[in-house]
Amino acid sequence: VNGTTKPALVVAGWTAGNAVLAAILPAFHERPFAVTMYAVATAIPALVALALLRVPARNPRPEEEFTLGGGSQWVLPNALGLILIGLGAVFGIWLVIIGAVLVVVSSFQLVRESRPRPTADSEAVDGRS
Amino acid sequence: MTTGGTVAWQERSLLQPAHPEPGGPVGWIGTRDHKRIGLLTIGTAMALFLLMGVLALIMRSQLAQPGEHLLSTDEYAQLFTVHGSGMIYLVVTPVALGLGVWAVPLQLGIPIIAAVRTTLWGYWLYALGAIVLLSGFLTTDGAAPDGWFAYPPLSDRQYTPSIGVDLWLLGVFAATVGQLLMGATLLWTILRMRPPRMSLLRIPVFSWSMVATCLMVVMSFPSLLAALGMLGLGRIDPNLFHHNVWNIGYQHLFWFYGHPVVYVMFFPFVGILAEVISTFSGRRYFGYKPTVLALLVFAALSMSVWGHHMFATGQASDNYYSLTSTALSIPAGVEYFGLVGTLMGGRLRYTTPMLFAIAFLPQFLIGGLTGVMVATPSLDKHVHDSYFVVAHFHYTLFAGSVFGLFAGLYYWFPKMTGLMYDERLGRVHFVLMVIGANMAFLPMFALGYLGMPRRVATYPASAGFTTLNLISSIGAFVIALSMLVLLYNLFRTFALRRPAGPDPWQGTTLEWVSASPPPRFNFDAAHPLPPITSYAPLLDARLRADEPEPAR
Repeated sequence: VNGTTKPALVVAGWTAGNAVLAAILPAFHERPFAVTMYAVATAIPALVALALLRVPARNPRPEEEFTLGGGSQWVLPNALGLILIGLGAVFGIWLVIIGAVLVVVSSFQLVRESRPRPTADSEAVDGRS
Repeated sequence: MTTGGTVAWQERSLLQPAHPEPGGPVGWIGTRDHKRIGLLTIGTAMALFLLMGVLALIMRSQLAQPGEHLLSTDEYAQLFTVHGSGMIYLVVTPVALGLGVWAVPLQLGIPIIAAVRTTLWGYWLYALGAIVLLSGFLTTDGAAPDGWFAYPPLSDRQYTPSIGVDLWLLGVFAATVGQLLMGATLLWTILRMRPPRMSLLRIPVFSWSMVATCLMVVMSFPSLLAALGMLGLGRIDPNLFHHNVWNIGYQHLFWFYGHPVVYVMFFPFVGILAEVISTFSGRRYFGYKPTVLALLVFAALSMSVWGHHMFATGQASDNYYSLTSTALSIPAGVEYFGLVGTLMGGRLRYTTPMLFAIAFLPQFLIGGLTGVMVATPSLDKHVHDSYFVVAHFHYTLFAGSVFGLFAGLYYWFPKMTGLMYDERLGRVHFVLMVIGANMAFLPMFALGYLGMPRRVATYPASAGFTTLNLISSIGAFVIALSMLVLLYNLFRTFALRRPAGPDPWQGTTLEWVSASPPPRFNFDAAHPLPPITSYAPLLDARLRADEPEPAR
């Protein structure tokens, strides 16, 4: 047990608690729908625990390459595009089209901005000078 | 020094931005600073809180006297729907997560939050979802009128054809996706991004409360999305809800979200109370390990209690849900012992955040104990859908959680803004809130027990509800008065700009070592991280400094 596995164990223990609570539900003659729903939902924290085990304690990728970058102005247009697509289901296909264009353009920009952007002083910034 | 291509944590905390954020509103819109995302979330939620309060005042004006015609029945239904939906989906849940987004990286001693763009995306989905939900008022038929849980078949197109329900559905869906994303990134931050010396048992209580909260978020929020998806299908084809399995299935899916969310709106405030009471008692938090364990057990158990909202359907297993719901009082009791144990023997300072924290304890207890009552099927069937239930959840969410929220806002306000508010006005706000909340919600227990159903737009004079309703309405206006005092205090604080200093309270956790407001990456050369020796590292540092030097 180390720093990587301990958080995973916490989440796994929490998941196990829920699994027990779900497992005893049929003994109380609850409907299969409710039992299945609880069991399926328990898989979500189980996946979190697995992800914690799979991902190393510190991200080996230099996060600051993108985390320390400037703003992310395309996040709002992206979210707005998704909302417009949803509103299109109520108000008509034209909103879906506008929303889809916004989502495509903003997604492209978001992918672009997440690429590393070396700067003149990046050596000093990331501490590797 | 580097480890695997990344900068060591201590060095990283001293970094300067490679690409500075743009200034002004553009900088805020696309910010990658967790503190700004947290403040945007808190600010949006608090603005919506005021709006929901206005809706509540209109409703209480309608109910102040029997036979009042300020609103039509349909308008009243729209107001209680948007008030209830707004408070849960758009105010208390997001503000709890927003406080986590702002405070957790500071408490852990790290400069960033995990997946910051996803967190920002979550904020914008929430904010835009709020606008969509509220835009129902601008449509011809008005906003959604089906209550915050929108049970089918009432909410299907056959019985509620208004477009307001569609906007409600889309708004709630977007806001919930946003909050789910914020919860997920916060959980990952705490479990995976701690600095090397911040072991699990050195995580402050507030951050632990966010672990429990976010576990519930990732497990329960998808079921609301599934329920809303089902409702969307039902609005396209109302025949879907002609089958009982879908109606009762919707309720199961909804309440599998609907009960844990109550604790999503509670745990962060218990965590805040722990920090506030510990700081203003001048001592370490009492019962740290049992409290952490209780939070996790409570969170796990809370996933199993949803069916107690369905006792009246006759289609849920009464014994199971009653048993698990009643068992919640055990971890809740442990948490209360921790809070009260910290108070006992402490050198108490009765500042505004401390007053709000102390008031939380008895008031939330009223909400909690009446919760045990409605978790008992025989009692629940008597008071179900009555004002007793309204009183119960207002004591938990308003007299409890909102008091915890104000404890947190007053506590962290100097850190957030760098400014010190007027303590005297803070106390006036507190006194009015206590009077108003208890005047507004205590009579509702009696009203419910006497048989006043919830969600009625009016009542006859012969029902015997008049005096209690009048007291309740006066209480609502006293709360409104307290909000005016708060707004005046805010205005005065920003006008006077009295600097707060980095640690005005003698705090115990790492955020208080940073400048007020903290710099872009939280800790800089002027405010470096101290050694992380426990869950109260600043208290440790003060105790070490007070120790007499050993004789030579």
